[in-house]
Amino acid sequence: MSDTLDDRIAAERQRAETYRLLAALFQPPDAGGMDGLEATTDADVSIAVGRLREAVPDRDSLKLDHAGLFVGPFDLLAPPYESVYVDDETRVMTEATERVRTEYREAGVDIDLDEPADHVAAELEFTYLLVATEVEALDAGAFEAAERCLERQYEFLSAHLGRWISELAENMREHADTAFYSALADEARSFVEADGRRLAERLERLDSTDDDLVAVLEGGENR
Amino acid sequence: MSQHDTTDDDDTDLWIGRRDVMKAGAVGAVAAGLGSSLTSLTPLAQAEDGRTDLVEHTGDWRPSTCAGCTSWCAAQVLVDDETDRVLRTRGHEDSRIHGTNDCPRQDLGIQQLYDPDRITQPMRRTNPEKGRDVDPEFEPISWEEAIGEIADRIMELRENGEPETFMVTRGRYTYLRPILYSYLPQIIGSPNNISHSAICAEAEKFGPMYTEGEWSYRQYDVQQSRYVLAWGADPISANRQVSHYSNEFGDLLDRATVAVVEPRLSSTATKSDEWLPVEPGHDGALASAMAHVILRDGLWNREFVGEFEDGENRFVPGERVDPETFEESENSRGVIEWWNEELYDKEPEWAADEAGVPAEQIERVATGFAEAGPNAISWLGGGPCMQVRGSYTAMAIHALNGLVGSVGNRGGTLYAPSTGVEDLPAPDEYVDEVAEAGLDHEKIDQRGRLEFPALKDGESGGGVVTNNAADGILDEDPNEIEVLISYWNNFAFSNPESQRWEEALAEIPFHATIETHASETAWFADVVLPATHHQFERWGQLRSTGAGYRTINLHTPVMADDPDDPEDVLENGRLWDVKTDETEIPYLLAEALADRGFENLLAFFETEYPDPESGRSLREEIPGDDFESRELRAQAFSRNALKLRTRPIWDPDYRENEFDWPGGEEFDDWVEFRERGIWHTDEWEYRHRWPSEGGEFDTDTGVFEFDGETLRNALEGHAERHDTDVDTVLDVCNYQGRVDDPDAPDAFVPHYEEPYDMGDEDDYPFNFVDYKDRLNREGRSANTPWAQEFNDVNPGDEPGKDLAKINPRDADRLGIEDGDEISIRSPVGEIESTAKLWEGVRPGTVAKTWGQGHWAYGRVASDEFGDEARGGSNNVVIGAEYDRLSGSSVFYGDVRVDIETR
Repeated sequence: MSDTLDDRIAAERQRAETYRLLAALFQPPDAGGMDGLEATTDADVSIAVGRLREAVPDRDSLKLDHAGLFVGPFDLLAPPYESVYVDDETRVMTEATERVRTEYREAGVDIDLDEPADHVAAELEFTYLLVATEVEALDAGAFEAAERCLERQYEFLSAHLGRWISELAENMREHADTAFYSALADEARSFVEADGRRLAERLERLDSTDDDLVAVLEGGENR
Repeated sequence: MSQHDTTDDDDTDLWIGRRDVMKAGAVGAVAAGLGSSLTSLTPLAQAEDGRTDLVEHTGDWRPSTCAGCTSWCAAQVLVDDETDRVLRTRGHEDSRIHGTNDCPRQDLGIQQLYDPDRITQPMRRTNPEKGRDVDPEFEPISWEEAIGEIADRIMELRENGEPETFMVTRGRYTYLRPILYSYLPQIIGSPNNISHSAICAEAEKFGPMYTEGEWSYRQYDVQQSRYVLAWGADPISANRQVSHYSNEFGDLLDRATVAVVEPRLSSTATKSDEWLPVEPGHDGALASAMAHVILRDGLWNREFVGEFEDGENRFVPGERVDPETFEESENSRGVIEWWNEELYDKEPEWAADEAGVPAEQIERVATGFAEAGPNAISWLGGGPCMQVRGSYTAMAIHALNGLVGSVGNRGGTLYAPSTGVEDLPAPDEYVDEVAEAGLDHEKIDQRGRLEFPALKDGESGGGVVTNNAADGILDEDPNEIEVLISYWNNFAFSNPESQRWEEALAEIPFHATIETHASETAWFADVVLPATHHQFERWGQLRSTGAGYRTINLHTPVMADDPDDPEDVLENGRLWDVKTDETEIPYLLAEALADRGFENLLAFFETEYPDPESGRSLREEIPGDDFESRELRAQAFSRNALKLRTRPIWDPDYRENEFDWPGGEEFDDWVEFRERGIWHTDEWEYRHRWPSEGGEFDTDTGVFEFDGETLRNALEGHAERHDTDVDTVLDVCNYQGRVDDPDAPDAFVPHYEEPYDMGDEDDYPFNFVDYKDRLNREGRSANTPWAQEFNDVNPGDEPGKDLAKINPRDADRLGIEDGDEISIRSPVGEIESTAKLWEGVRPGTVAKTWGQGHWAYGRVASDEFGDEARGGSNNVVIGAEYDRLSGSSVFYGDVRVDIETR
């Protein structure tokens, strides 16, 4: 395997890890995400972990802020469900939720939270799995399969996560009591949106030029 | 946030065509390789083919029950067969009461089920301070922790020998209710289980109780009736059997005359032949005058009431009758006493002055009603009797049915045939000495004290005085309340002068509440437990009554493919981590109490609640001591409780050998019954309780009483308990009736009592008219967008607004214009509202639909969740006053307010 390809795989792995970390950070703070943040370095992911780490307050404030933003019971200030942003702000389990769940099941996974399938943590983790699948394909030299994974990632971001991450982030920034969740909002939004643009550019190049996948992967910076 | 996304979905079309190029299951394989490091997703054994058309839904109609009001309609729920998502709901097609007809409340249920504002997991208060302006700062906790905290508190009470300081409050229930509401406090040792009943319509039951011995709601035989006279009842809008009555109403109007007595133009009044816009609080005067007209004109039913021996009508206005001249029917007694003590001088002209309804309309309606008898209904709603002194009004209104012989008769007022359900196993053997000592204490609502007779079923203190429990808690009288479990209620919103409950709840050291939504009550709680939604996520049983039948209706966890399998229910039957108040939570609590050394509750459940089909106990079915096994057992317990409750219906052997079977449909096994979800009694047999037909009424005399003999016994019993006489009781309780006092109404016969006002007429010149929203699911639908968007189904209301309806003549005098922001002030509180000038209210009254004014409950229900109310809550201006004979809270009739522009 060439150095270039190894570099590209490492970069894609970094993308994957970023989704994985983001997914964990949207989970309740005692679910392991904070430990993950501690163990992650700037080199592992494509977001500013240092900034996030610095913003981590005491555990109690974190739990309360997470509950207020994403759980309730009184202040569901940043509902973590796609349905609320794309279909109806007073409803979960809409057509959008069903489409997301269908995506999961077609891909061979299902929601494992006591939450609707379009919970932000699940959509982030699903994107992580799509990128991880791509990395596995690249590792195996299965470039066609890896290319399809890129398409699938773009498709999922443009049909789902990318459609509402900015509104979720706005709610988080507006209502978060801790700097941590404000920072997480910024990082999640800018990464997901940039990743969507990057995927679009890559697919556009694959469609419209003779560049091969490795060349295309080289083309985009992760930051 | 946007209501509807503006993203153009077309730009994704480019990619949809590529979908099939990614190898199915590739992601799942990667996910499987990652194993337990995933946090939100789990690999499937096999990838699935997605449905290509998401619009075309197919699925099963699964049975359940709507508890959106006390119609309790049998329902069917369409569940998507691929995703288990609830799509639609309707009346149960097999119901002989309503068939597939339902009302909007069932559909609102789906909006509640999938409301993002639901409580989704257990929460714990972190701010020890409690108050309306104090943020509770809730944090999520596990079920195990939450249950453990409650168990710790209960153990502490028992160890300190003060189990009576434990309390349970109930709102809506299913008939699995004894487990949490009765048995749990009994085994712990507290008498303090307080129901919502006295803020519902208990006073309504007083009428039939003290005339024909039925402490019960009636069903009305509208399909055979020729005249319906509705008193403060709005049957096409609210309570009871709305689905059935709405469906029949058109035909009813074709064959019958419908008259409505109501201070505002109700939904039913808008579709009726007559509207009698009574002055609030004075319905009893109309009832007495109508009885007067019926007797004066000789229109009574001879077969039911009797006849003068010589056939000459001696009911002459202003003259009393010699009882010797009248031969009573074997079906009833006391009509002469009623005439002589009450009716003889209650002429329509007198009632017109009292009640503000024209004398000729009183004559016309009374005559029409009596001429249609016995196929005529005097339909008693909560309106005229959930008032000060309302008990006697309830008697007077119901007694009209006796006069025309419509009691239990074709086209009249019926009850429910007996049902084939069994009592749940009771815990008497599991009550220890600590508990017994606690149970000896007086109840916190002070029922049965001299000033609170609450004469349910003829017994002193037999009924509840729900709203007074707040004062009991605040005054620590009879004792302090230290631990409260509240479920399926919102007492801090739904009781009159609800601000008192806010204070009371803030005083209780530990309070766990079990609810679907974060209510005003939850704001004061220490632990908030998320409840299953009754219509979709749990086991339970309610019943409907109408068209001559009673049905037994099951609640089933419709989203699980195999609801009998606890694992399937926990896995697929709920979207969030929610549990059932009446069964699963008590079970988990029993396990936690056993961990702490108190095993009686668990022993009771384990011994008395096996699966009646397999005979296996809970632990035999699901062994294991980890919390997950306990959760599964809790779900099995829930199922077993329902199977035990309904066993005669589905177990032929039990039905034939162990149960006094009343007749009705018969099922051969549990699954057959559970899949259908509804069971019918035999049809009501007309007149079977009439003594002339060999029957008997449940009064002390066995006949229908116009003279209040059973009430006499009940009042004397209460007086005796307090070593006093009936006159003292009535004086203390602020009634006008007296025993043998020529200047007062007779204490026992149905009679008119002048209402007393809650507020001085000079300071508060208007009567406040409260009534329930047509889209109200017993106070639980305010966070559903449809309830707000379509609230103009209430006559006079407008979409999305909370309006105070004022007669244009009054508004003109006060200079108030349509749309003006106003305040409504009573002696106890003040709310803000918007003025609506409307001819549908009497001059001198302000009418406002109940249900708005939430400052919690969700982002739709409130203006700012947890902070700003949306509109005004009527209960803030309605004072805590009582119809003390029934224990009922006063909502209607006598609440005085002032209004001014803001």
